[in-house]
Amino acid sequence: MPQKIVVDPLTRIEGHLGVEAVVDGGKVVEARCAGTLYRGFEQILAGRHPLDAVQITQRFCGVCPTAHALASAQCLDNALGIVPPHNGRVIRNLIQGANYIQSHILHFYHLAALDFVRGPEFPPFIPRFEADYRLPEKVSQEIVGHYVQALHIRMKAHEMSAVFSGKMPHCASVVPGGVTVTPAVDKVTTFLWRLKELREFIENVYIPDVLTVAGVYRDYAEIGRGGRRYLSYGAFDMDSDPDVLKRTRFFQMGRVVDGKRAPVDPAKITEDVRHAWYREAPPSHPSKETTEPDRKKEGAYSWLKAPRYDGASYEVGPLARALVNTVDGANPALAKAVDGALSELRLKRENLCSVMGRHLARALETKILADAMADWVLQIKLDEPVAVGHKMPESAAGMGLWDASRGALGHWISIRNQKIERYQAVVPTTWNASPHDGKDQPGPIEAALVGAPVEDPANPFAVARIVRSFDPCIACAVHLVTPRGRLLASARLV
Amino acid sequence: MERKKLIAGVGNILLGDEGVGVHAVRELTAQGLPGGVDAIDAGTALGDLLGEFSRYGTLILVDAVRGGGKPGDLYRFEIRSRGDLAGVAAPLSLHEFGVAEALDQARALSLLPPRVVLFGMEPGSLAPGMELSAPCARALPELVRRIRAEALGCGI
Repeated sequence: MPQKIVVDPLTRIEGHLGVEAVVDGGKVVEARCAGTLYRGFEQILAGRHPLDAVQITQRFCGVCPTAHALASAQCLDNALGIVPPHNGRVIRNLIQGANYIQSHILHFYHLAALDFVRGPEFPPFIPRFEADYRLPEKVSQEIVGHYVQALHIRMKAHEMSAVFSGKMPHCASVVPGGVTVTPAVDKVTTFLWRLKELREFIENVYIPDVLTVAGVYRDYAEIGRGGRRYLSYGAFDMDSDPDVLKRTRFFQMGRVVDGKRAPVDPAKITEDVRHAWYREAPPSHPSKETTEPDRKKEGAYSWLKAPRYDGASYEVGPLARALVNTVDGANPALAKAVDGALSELRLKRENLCSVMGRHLARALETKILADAMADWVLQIKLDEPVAVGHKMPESAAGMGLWDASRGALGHWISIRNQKIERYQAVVPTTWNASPHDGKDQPGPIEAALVGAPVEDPANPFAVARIVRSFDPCIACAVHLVTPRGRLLASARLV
Repeated sequence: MERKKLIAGVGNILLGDEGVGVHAVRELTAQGLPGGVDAIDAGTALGDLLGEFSRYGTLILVDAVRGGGKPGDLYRFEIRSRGDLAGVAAPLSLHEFGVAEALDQARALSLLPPRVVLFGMEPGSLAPGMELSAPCARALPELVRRIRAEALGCGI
């Protein structure tokens, strides 16, 4: 008999994402993924000065502020009709690159690895689902040891970002037209020294650990397959073509549908609210849609809208980037790394579309990105400008498409009377954790959960592993401390 | 030599009073910090700053705290051991790192300064918006005064 299990909140990921799965015959037959927190940040932007958007949108999220800064700056570049000069382009890439590295290392060691590696018996390692831990004790201990090392490495990555972004976590130097930081030799060397340490960690610790886990949990190269459609906006501009669709990016923009590469037409992006707590409306483009909460809506179960491309759901993130950039060898370094890892693990290409495939894609892109950054930082030209100026038009519209570490991030702005008239962001986790749409198509995580093995409904570790492989992050959580028990009795001042 | 003190303001400035920690740090910085005291706008990324903690002898955190009081009420917690925040803020994620988790992890990794104090203010409104509600805005100067006194070593 079918049984409904609820995993809410999914600990260690995000307290505001819940999954409800119907289990029948030891497998998930249907799943619903719900964002349980209303996000209505865009309304704050209306009426403000357009340049404020870069600072305000960074506060959407404590995890990928950098990506919001970059998407927002590009959205404004587009609206103002400007492109950054050489240095501005390179430095933006370095700021974002350091953030990718820290984000991926955080995800593996501090969020995902503990699904496969038994951690110590104290928080933050518990509570946890008592999963089938298969690694030998000694190997487990070694990987847990890397948890601490990873924290140190993340710090170095943050320092690298801060060298050029002015400050972290919310960066100050990214502006429309480029960046405001003046390059200097000491900044370049500071960056390079830290990058060297990061590359050693990625090469000698991170990649081997992912391969070790993937080699033992071979069934997870089949589990959590998901849909057949992948979308990436690409990231890291290699030239400054004013048309983002013609721009060459280190990770290129594109889609992969049933194993074939296809182009992206941003006009085909819509958001569907059929099963979301927003006033019913036909699917509409982010530059036109409205966001009116309707908490009592029949059939709704999530605060996330359902982004769709040409009416279909798409997975975004490192796996999407890996597929877009390797099906026809668009990024030779990534293609080589992916082929090498698959052959070492004796896995096939289709195994990439799985829990382990997502972890592998994340680790491998970290490596080739870090390698490339060592060249990029040397491309800085010390006595050249870092930004171009602009004149604020009375009215304009702009779009910024950029891949955050966890996937496709789009910002849309319209400017009127030199103020923001409307602003809309469609973030990666909205794509991946989207609810069903008006055609009753599930979102990518919902689709990936179907077929997940659940032997013990009280301990659905496969569900957690699948959801976590997407690196979901529902931005803008209210993280309010709520004292309970004896804390209530402690020193109250006023 | 006495080790430096760090004041870290935590919160999301887009959610009204949720951002009180950041507002407090901005105000403290605008007034000028005492010698030997650093202040940081941690925003919603406290977890990214664990490594910074270890460089200090005292950590003073400032955040919105729901303690059942009236909006603008102030709280002060001395955090000595893990139990002091046990069960607090349970639904918080590693991503949008909560204070309790951040402290747990920092402690597990021996990054926590010897002394940790949490200042909190009871929020009024958490609706999207970049300003504090009236009662919290009124209470901000007192919060800032008490944090400054704490940082100068003449707290209660």
